[in-house]
Amino acid sequence: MFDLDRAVATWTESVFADRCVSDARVAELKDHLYCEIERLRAEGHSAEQAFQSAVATLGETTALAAEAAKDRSVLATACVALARAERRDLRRAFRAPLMAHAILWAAVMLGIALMLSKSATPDSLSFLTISLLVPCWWASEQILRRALEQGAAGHGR
Amino acid sequence: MPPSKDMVAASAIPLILSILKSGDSYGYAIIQQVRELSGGEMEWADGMLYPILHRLERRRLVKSYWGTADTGRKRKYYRLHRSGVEELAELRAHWDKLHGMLHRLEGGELCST
Repeated sequence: MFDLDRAVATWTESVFADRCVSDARVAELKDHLYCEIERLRAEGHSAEQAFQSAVATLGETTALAAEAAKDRSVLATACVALARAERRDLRRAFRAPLMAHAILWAAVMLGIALMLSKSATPDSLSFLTISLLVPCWWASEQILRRALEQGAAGHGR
Repeated sequence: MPPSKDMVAASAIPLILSILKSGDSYGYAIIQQVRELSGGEMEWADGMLYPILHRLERRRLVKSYWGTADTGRKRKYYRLHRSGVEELAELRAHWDKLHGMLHRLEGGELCST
């Protein structure tokens, strides 16, 4: 038996796969889809036919996602970039080096924090040192990601 | 002949603002109204409207609020803001001027030969 609500929910999730849109946007798109489905059902279509037809009218999910992207705030764009980066990380080959990198940096930061706590360094300087390490870690990870991706692309050729 | 993509894009904002001037509305109804007004010739891609509405909202030309449809579903309505009325008047003046120019050209008034 065709479950219309479930089909609508699954389709909406596929449009906003990166989940970087507000619930309000999702609700608005859902309402639009239901309006079209109701119109088609009033014309005598079955729930499944109406759903398929409404989805086709609404457009390709990729096209809709592209339209939604034009409308994104800076924060949402950053969120999408992060989500994509995380999806890329799912590549099995990348997991081990990224994990090793994270552990190494965690050890470095912990070691430096311990050293600073035992030395006579003023608190403000200790805080500054640790604060500087965070962007260094981030930059280092970006370099590693890029190197891994270039390596993977090189192998792919 | 249906209007070109450029024409559709250029006319979208004045049409949306004009529709909202006659009363609060929501995405699906706006698309249906444009289709009816154009005699079925102007078909807006459904995904095109919402980014425009959201941009108009950010520019404070329209404001939105949540209501409930007859079916009980949550629905986002749009209302024309005062600055939207002013923007619409300005856009209408541009379109009227363009229309006047085309009309005069067709009538040969501006032909110098």
